[in-house]
Amino acid sequence: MDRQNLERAAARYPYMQGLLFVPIGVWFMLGGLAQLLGDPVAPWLYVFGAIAGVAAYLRIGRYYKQNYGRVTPPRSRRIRDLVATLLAVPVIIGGAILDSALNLPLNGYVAGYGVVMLLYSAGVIGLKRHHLVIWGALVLAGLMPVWGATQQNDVPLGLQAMGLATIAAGLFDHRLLVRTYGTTGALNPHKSNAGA
Amino acid sequence: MPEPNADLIVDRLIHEPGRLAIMTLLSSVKSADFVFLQRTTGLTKGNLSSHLTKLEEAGLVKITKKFVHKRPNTSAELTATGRKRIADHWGRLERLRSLSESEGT
Repeated sequence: MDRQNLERAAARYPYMQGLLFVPIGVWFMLGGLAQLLGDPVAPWLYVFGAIAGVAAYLRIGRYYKQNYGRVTPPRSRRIRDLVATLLAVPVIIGGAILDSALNLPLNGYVAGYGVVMLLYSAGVIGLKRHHLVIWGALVLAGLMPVWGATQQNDVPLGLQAMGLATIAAGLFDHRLLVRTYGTTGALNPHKSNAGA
Repeated sequence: MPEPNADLIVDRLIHEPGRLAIMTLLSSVKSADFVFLQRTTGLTKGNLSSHLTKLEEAGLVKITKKFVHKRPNTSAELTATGRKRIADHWGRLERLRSLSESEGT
């Protein structure tokens, strides 16, 4: 029996529910699309994206709870997550402000988001190859000196890139979860009285 | 016969592999439900129930039963005593391992 493996299995589970990132990624992409299309489509896309995104997020959350179970992290970890989220926002916004103020030919918030997600993955799951490839590629894409030429399209194209990366990383995290905890077919508590 | 070193006597209640796995899993979270514990320990539903009952009776685990989306849901969390006992138990196992390694060399 490996103590560390067991402790990690419980501690990392809430953060390995990668499918939860898919609606977030789709929401980024819809946001980018709305900015490209402009009025009158944009407001409808925002509203549709928000409603569909929340519904999908809740449904996916329920799928994980029913098939893999519920884990509540300790209070200290929840506080750490909150602090990390609060610190991440200024990094992304700071990247955008720096980019805009200095008129740099790069995309500061795409690079900032990539850095934040790399740090997030390292902190909660431990860096895996797919994190390095996906978030590393996003950071590099944000730092490529190609963005300034299409200034008005920087935000929508950046959101598309962020959305794609978020969806891809989420799918790979979910694959990691299935490899760690097994497929849903391996245990089907939904059809049993488990928990009764 | 020499007196056994009390500091190295393993906690029999916790040392059983199924209960050790449950206690270790619960030690790194606030709480976990039956489905998660069953999936990660690989125990059958009956075995897991039986181990949880023993741990609850010993005051090491607190069991909460409720309905979530009209389905019964059982979750478990370590009590303060349970947290201390599992930490002490792993410490004891580590000391035993160190002792066996030092005597083996």
